[in-house]
Amino acid sequence: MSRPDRSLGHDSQNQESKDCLSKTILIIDDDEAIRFLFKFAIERNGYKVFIAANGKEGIDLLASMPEPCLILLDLMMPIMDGWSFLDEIESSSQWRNIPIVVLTAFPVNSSSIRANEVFNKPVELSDLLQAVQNWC
Amino acid sequence: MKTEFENLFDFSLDILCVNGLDGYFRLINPAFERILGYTQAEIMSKHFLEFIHPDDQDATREEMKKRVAGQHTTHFQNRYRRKDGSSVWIEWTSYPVFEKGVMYAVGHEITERKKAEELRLQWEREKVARVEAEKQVELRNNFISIASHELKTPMTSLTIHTQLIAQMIQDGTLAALPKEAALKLVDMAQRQLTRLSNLTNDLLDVSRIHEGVLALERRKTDISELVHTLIQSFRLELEKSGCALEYQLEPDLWGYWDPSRIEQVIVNLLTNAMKFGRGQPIRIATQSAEGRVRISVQDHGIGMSPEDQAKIFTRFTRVASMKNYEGLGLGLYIAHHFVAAHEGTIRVESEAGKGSLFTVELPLAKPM
Repeated sequence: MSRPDRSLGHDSQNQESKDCLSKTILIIDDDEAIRFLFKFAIERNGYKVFIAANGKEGIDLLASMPEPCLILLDLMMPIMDGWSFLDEIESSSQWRNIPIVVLTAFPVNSSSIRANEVFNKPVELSDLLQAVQNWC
Repeated sequence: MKTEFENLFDFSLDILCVNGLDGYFRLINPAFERILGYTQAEIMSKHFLEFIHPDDQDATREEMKKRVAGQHTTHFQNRYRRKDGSSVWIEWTSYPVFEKGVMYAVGHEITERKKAEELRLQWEREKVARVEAEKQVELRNNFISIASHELKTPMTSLTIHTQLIAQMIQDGTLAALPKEAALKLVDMAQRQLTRLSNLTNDLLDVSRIHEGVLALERRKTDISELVHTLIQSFRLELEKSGCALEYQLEPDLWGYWDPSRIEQVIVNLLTNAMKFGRGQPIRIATQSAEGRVRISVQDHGIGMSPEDQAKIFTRFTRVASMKNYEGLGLGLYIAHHFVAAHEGTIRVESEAGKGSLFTVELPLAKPM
């Protein structure tokens, strides 16, 4: 189920990612504290961060923001959950190549998720920043 | 020289007998002697009830009454005690003849069949118990995975939070942080701690309820005042949920309740109304009704089916999708038990897609 066009091997991906000039990240999480802290922590490392509280807000935001170099996605959310968001992105010709890192407290098998990386919460700040750096 | 009938009588493997309506045997065949281990003289010298197993005495007397009332018996089963102390199951077919004051009876020994039946029943009972136990284990496992998810969310914030502060101390940026931003960080951490503390309290309450050690600290409480104070403290959450709150509180509704438990009940109902209320108005009302106080919380949200309504007050049961709604799924279970501990009731009226109305009734109790 993993996305064939997004290899987890970072060497080749890094080169491509470094070309990403936007340095823009979209965080989709229904937890206000997580949105605030992730945004705060990532922005002070030189990125521009947009936040959405569920998949639907994320889709709406994508249409109006600069194309992000990475989406950090929660799975269990109201209105539109992370699985549905992944389906929407997968079917979009415009956004299907944006790297997606899933951060979830829900026990999932990473091979069953169409994401580039899966982190289990609670996540370490250094891992979060490393992921951002790898993909952007 | 015996007649053919006498030979049949003697050779039968089943019991054949003539019993007087007075309860004494008039005639028995050798099979009866063989099955009970008594001699013919021993069997015929005692009232037949003396041979009946104590647990079957009442049923046998009842059956005898039917006989005296003129009914015949088919398939009546009872246990006889053998001379060696063991018991045998016998199935009877009998027919009374009043003019002779007797009944004719045929008894077939069914001890082995009864044993097999008992084994089968036991197996069935064990199967039911096993399925139920498996269901409980599954519910518990689901609950543990939900609980761990709920605990991990605030833990994630706190982990990032402390590591962020450490990083800012290291690179010397903490001191330059504007006061407002610093206060917001502290407030965020504080809220996560409150969340963890609430989750822990819920888990402890469930454990107390399950162990039957829920203690109430009753004191004179005005329910409307309690609800009013609560509504004020929920202003921010209500605003975030997008649900407007209407309320109608009858003044001076006093009772002897544990205010912290009753507050928890209303918090749980209000939190659910916001969570499942789809941003539609919520209505809370208190009123007195026939020596009781009635508290109702109504939303116009996702509602639920009759099948789900039947499950919501039980432990470890969540009817809302885990993918879309956070929470332990314990709120209504806790509410139900807190209300029951006050000799009150809680009920729900709901329709899928239209919303839910929860009604709590508490006795306007006198001081203890």
